[in-house]
Amino acid sequence: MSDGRLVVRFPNSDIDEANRYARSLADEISELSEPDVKEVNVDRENPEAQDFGATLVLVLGTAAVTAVAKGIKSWLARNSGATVEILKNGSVIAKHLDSKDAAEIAKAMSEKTAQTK
Amino acid sequence: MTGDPVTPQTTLAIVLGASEYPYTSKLDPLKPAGNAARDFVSYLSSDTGLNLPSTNILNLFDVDESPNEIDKKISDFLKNRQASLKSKGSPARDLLLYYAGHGGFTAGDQEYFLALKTTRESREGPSSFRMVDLALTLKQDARDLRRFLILDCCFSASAFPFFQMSSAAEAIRDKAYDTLPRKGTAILCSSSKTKVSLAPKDEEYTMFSGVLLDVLRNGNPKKDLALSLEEVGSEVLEGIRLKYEDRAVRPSVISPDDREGDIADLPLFPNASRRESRVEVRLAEVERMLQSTIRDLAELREVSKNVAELNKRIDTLAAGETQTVASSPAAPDDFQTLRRMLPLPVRAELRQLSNAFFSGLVWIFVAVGLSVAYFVTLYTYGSGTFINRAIASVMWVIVALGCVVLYLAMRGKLGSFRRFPEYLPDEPPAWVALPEIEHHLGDRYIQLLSLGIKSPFFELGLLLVGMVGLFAMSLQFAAFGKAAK
Repeated sequence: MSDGRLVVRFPNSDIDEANRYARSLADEISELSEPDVKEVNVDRENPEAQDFGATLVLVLGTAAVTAVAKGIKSWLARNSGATVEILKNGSVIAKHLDSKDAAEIAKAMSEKTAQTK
Repeated sequence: MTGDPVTPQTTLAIVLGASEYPYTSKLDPLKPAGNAARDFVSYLSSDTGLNLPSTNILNLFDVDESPNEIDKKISDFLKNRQASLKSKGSPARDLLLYYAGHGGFTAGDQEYFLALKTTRESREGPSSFRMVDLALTLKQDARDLRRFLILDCCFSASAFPFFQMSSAAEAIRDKAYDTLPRKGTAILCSSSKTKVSLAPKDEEYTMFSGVLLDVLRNGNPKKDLALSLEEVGSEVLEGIRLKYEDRAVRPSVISPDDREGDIADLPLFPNASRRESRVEVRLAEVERMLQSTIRDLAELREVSKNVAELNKRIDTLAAGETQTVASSPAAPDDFQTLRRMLPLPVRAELRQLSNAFFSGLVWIFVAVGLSVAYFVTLYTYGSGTFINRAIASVMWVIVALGCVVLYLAMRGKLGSFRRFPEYLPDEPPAWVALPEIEHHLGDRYIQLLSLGIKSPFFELGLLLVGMVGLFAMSLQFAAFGKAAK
């Protein structure tokens, strides 16, 4: 995966909440209007489920990482019960993140994105 | 307040959902939902299923129309069919809505919606059917119906708050649950509000609808002749648990509007495994009618003994009929002919109705006779005599009891007479003849019919008459007791 593809999950939420969070966070990141945000998609991990998906797929360029990390932080601040985990190539690169972990989010995302460039 | 049982003629059905989503790349075709909707529609119209008339079914599955257009079609269907059935004398009582597809939450306001064929990626809100809109349409245009919903989609129990009764309705909620409710909403959900529903790969149906169709097609021999939504829900839950074990979704039945009682307990679906029992009941009915016909034939044989006399009468009648037909375009025997077309049980009802009339007239004549006797004795012996008081007492009692007897007799007969097309849906002559009889009786039919409808003022009036009669009787006897002392 050389395109900076990240998957955001909501591990401590019920599936209906995760559906809502994924949509909501997708909107948040889309509204950043960052040109280096190449793709924001809500994805269905279980193709047999009759839902719209509970995970968020992000394809980011390096320049967008900080802005997206800030966006996730601000979204987490508004959704106080939510925590996220971020995966890259199927591996968890950061987990149990909440609004206090903005620096960690940015660090994890930028490092991994840079490594894959 | 009490409602009537569920019948095919008075039940409307709507099928919604989609198996293809051409405007979003996120959703693959959901063929199991398409198969389920197709077979559910077959079940609705099949004579081994719900046996609904095709005009009572609105199939909007996989239609490529906007939510607004679909909403209008639902609204028009509900209004038109209710008006049509009402004009035929059998108003719609029940609505069954089935949905199969994807359920999700809109961006922004996070509202629950049902996906349609028109659902667009990232614009699910305006291109799908929001539950709040569907609930509003059903609450407005099916407000007088019992609403049964079957939702096969993710988070389907999320529909609950949208169908909850208003606080005003809650305040006047009827606590007496011993009668059939006339209104309410019950939902059979394929999953809870926090769980997904599943369409297993390589299976014909979705997990929920597959077992639902099995339950509806096969029934349960241990249950009654008809299954309630609650019973079907329990059977589906058990069936899914046995078939899918750990993967099983967990359906549930919820009743967001139970102001008159929980309609989920109402017998709704014919129990397929008891079909033979239903046939046995019908056979017993046919046997009873045959016996009645045999009795009629015996009477005919009796009549045939006097053939010669009958022939003379026929000749006389024929001559009279020719004259009547010549003078009037309406033949006088039409009503009798129609009456003969009616099934035997209905003719028996009509005979009993005539008997009730006759009884009422006898009561009235007796009361009038006693009144005359009362005034004669009053005039002859003066007031305060024993005979005079006794006659007055008897007269009051007869009048009061007569009213009650006449009312009860006519109400019972007319109540069943009014609904006999429902009891005998397979008797076309009954359907044809009823409007003719109504025409023949004119205003009298409507007046009599109104007696068969619950009228608290009428009952109160009768009760008062009866009480006045009893009061008058006790006064008379009290006065007699004093006089005797």
